[in-house]
Amino acid sequence: MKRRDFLKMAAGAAAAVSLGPVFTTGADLFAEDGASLPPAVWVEGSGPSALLKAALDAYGGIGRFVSAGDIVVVKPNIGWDRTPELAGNTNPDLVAEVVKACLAAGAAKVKVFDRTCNNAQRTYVSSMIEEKAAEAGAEVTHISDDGYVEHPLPNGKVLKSWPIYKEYLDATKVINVPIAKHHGMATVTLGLKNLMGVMGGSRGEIHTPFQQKLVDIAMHILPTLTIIDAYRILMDHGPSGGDPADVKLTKTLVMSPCTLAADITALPLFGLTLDAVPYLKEAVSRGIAKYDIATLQPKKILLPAAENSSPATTGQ
Amino acid sequence: MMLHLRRIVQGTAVAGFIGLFLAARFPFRPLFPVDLGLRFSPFAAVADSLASWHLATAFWPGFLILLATPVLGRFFCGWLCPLGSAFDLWRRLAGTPSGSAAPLPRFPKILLFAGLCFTAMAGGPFWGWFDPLALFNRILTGVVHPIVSYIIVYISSFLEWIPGFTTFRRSTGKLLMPEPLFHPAQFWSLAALLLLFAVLEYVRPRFWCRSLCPAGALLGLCASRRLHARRIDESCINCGACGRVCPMDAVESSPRRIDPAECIECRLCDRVCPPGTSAVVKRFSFGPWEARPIDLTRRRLLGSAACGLALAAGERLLPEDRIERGDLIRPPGALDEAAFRQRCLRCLQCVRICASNGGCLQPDGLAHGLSGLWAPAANMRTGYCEYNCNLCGNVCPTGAIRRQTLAEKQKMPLGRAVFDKNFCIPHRRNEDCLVCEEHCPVPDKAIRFEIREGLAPDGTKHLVKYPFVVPDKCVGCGICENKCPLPGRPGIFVANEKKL
Repeated sequence: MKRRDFLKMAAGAAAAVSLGPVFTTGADLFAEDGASLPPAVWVEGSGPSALLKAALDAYGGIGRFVSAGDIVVVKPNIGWDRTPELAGNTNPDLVAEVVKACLAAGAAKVKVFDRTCNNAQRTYVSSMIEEKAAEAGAEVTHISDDGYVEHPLPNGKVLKSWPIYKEYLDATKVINVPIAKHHGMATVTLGLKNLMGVMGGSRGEIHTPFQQKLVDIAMHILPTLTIIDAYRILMDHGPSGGDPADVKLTKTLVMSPCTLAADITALPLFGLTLDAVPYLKEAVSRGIAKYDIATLQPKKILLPAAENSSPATTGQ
Repeated sequence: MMLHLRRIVQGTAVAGFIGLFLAARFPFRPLFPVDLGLRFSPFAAVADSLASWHLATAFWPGFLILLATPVLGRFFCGWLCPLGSAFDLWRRLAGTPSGSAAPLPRFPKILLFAGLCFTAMAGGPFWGWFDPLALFNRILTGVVHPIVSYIIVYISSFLEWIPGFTTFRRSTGKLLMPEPLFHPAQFWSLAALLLLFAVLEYVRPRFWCRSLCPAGALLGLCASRRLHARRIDESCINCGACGRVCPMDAVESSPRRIDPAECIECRLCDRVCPPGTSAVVKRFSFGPWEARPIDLTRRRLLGSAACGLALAAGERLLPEDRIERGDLIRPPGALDEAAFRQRCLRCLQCVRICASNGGCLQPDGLAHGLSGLWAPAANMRTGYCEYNCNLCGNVCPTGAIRRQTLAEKQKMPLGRAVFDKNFCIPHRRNEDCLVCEEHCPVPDKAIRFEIREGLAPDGTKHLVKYPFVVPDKCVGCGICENKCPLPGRPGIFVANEKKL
């Protein structure tokens, strides 16, 4: 890299940081050729690495979302003290691949964290995300209790502010990597609900009334990109799971710059429609989608099977 | 020379003890059993054997020390015991008087030892409080470690501007205090205990060891006929320096001799014996023994035995407070309540390891009777029992918490969750909540819900998910109680109902 290029890049990164949060809109990503890009991508039929590659290719590569010098937060679900086979947490290989892709795109730093439900030590280890993401080059940290700042929610209906993890807010790009799971209360948990992992305070309070409060907060902290891990999904007894019989091998991945579009695209995995998921309906009615949901046409890609992936993903 | 050696051994023993303490955490990959340090206590070895009516083989290091004492004397007190070393360190740091003032009665420790042995034998639950190693570990867990971690975390929060410091802090923080800070219950009672010991050290050096420690009494009894005795020979010029420097007041002035029951082999007398004299020598002897007659009368000894028996009887006579017992949740795999109290050392090693896991175990106060003081009890509002964790049973030195495999532990309920429908949000407000159901770790859920029509405050009817407990499935882990979003009293709690 020439010195001039470096200075340009540094200036660009500095500008990106100084221009404030990225959470308002992602529409500018598509200023040039937005019309030709899919609102969401559904890829099916292979291992996490190939699924991710195919989905990113549909957007012209990770470079569309991550630029050189970016501080990227990759936000998986590391909620539960469960091994990858039980589909309680995001697939560790997918997280590692996302980290690698970001670093390959020139990200200055990739951070991985989640506010866990079980003990953080245990979940980071048993999910294998700590090990694999760190191996891929990410900075994997536990959430620290004093790391939240009160974040204003000007468009909130019920809530006017909520503590959000500062490192998340400080990132120049955020990649949300939830796993698709059944959820007793919410019906299903996908990208929008995965953002609860950066919310501070008493998260139990968000449950009453859940729809309004979740959307109130989530709409103010939307990520750059949402990648829904549906390699294995949890069909029942979620979100914690624990019974292999509830796990279904679907070998799918859903990606969209619009969290809501990604979530709605993923619903057929569970045989659900938008009507069955009140908090997503609420989110649609609040206008946080970047695309017209009624006419949403995700791009579907079917991959030839048989990608040999690492043990954690093939342990079924 | 020997003095330096002793300090090195003391330092190593303390470091080893604290190292085992720090290793009692998740991820659990210890090089040694982390309760090994605690098992060096000769008193716990004897008392636990009496309490269980079996030879407490887990305490083999304590028995070894007991066997070595007739030859080596109370070397344990002067060289190994971390509590004793802490006293020595404290005297150096605080500049408290070293050496003897007016003699302190030494019979209380023998009375205490005898009384505790009798009470242990009769099923009384009090002896664990007085074990010196358990005491050390208790104060370490409940006071010193939380405070030290807090100070380190607090100071390092000001140092984050140093490049790389955050990474350093995160990696060291994991070693020191893997969890968000442990908030120990009973902090003040244990801090008072610590303060008491610190003050006693001002009254007399090694006050506890001389006058109160039941392990010291036991070792003293074994050492009083010791074969390899420390003596003062004819070359003594009667300068009295050894008597002034002895922290145990073990040197008598006329005739000048050293009481083997009190000498802790600290070697301070060697050092002060004037050059050219070196009157303090060691030699093998088979009597006549020079032990001072113990200032202990038969009447006192009988009295202490009677008190010990009375204590045990009193504890048994107490009416069971069924309401208080109803919310007393012991660690998973704990023995039956009476046996548990009797065998628990109150060393808090389980509390320590739980702090790096679910964090439910806390030292209990007086809520469940005097004999429950400092025994571990689960507080599901401060933590919960991790479904995939069985570590408390792995670190218990006496087996008051049974060692269970994870599969066994997951089938051994701590209690059962019960809804308090006057508090639970769906039941009292007809609104969805289900945080408890969400967190329930049982693979097919011990908390389930039914969908029924409920009346909203505005009079309209809508569908609500009402949670309920399937008692046979519930393991009483208490994560439901812990995560219940209600700020104070939870809408679901774990009751001590495992036998129903």
